[in-house]
Amino acid sequence: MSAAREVLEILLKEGMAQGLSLFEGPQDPALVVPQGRLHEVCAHLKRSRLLAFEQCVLVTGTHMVEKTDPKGIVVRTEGFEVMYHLRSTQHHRILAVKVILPAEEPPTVQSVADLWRAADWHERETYDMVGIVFEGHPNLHRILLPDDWEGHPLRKDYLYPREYHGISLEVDPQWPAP
Amino acid sequence: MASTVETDLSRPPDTYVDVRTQELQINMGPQHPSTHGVLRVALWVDGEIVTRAEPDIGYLHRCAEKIGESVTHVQYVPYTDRYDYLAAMNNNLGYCLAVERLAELEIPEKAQYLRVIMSELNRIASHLMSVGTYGIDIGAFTAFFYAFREREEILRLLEWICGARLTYNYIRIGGVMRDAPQGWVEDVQRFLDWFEPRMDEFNQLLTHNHIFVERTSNIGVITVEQAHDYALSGPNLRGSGVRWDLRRDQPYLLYDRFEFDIPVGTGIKGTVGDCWDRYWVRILEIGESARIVRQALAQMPKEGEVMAKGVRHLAFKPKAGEAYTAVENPRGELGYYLISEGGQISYRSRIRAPSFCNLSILEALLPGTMLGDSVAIIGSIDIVLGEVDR
Repeated sequence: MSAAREVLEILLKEGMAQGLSLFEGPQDPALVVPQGRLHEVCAHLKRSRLLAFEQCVLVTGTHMVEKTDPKGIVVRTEGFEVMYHLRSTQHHRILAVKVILPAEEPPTVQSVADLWRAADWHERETYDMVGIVFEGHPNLHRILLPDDWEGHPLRKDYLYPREYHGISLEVDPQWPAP
Repeated sequence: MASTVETDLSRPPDTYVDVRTQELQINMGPQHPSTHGVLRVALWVDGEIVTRAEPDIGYLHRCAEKIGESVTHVQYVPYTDRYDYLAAMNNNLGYCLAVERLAELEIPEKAQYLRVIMSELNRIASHLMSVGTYGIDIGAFTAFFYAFREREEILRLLEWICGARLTYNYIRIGGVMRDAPQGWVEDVQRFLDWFEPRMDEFNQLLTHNHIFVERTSNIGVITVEQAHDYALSGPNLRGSGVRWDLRRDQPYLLYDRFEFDIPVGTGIKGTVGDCWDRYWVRILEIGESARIVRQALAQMPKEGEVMAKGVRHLAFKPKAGEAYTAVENPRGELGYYLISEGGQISYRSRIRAPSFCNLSILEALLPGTMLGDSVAIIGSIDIVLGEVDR
């Protein structure tokens, strides 16, 4: 049985499962948490003795573009997904927690940096690359790119800049020289 | 913190109580040799005591994840070499396992053995580099050359099998690039026979050296709670006494067929989780890796395929899905979270770099320590900036 299913059953017993569902993929199922309950659920995942997720291994933000099947029916609307990978070394589990955000600007989700310090830098990176705003983050600014960079490179509609501080980023058509 | 403290100059000097000085901000890096690359740490110091530390990263940023969304899965493998360039084999392995998991590929047994041998040899080389340069950070230059002499032999073996000394691109999606050449297996055996006694020499030279122990014990202590809070992994987590290793706890490849121990820090020279403990875990892991290589060489079949059928072309497409796959890198848990829509190019390729998380603990470790110890602490975390910035 997968970790997400086990955890959902424990959460049902502990009365914390309102609004939660299971994302079934071919590989890893994930626990889908509504936007407004993320912090509450994560705090429980960390503190409950049966779950005890001590580590926040990874935070990933993804820009999902609209997808249609060959007949032209929309199978996925545009939006954002934030994925948290949590690990419990006591119970040998790795859990994927997914939050699905609508396509509004800026996409906003609750920060879990106060629960796991490791989430601090991961959330900053996600903000930097995908532009997801983490509410309640103590120090949300860019981490890898310079502070004056425009746009978020991992958005699917990102346009490459033409210049940065007078440095041309255009590819020279004459290059390489014959 | 307080800046200048007013002192009553009318009283005799020996009754001055507060000797705090003006707080000063200094930059360590980005060109500081002990930061192992281009890392800048902004330090606020009060005399010799660090009061606040803020790592500033991004100098080596190449947006690896964007490249991952622009090239095909097969083309992306050489890019993974460039993150943790001291352990490129392990990086290749992590990415290939992630794609193979999406594609549900079966890997031939001989290729799996070769993968284990390669990643463990690379782990030894990486740890030798780590302990050698740690000696330099502390001021012991000689040990570095001993570590490099041994590492050179490993690089020679790796060059022989794949033609490169640092960025190998040897582990490919579906298997490995090619079989071991004639005489290679025997040479690895000979190397291990030569190498294992050499570690005793190294330990005499550096590990139990009184000055080295004084410089590294009892400083930079990481508690278990702190280690989990900052999601540390690898030797940094085990140095704090947590017996957690993905090779044993979440076995991938053939690691459940080998016997090996997971060394943890026990505080022999000071406190559990101090700099010396992290260093000592790396030294012990070198021996354990050598043990695994010996067993893998003995068990490896003589003949067999090294590449799964129907993969060796650029149009390789895994199935649609998303998966997180993690492997134990020399520096900790290297994870790849891939989202595939069934095309040649992945929709999202997220990298969980161990050094990125390990580095973030500096803000908690440095305050309260002496300025001179900060070099010893940064060195003991063993970061590779190529992986932090990606």
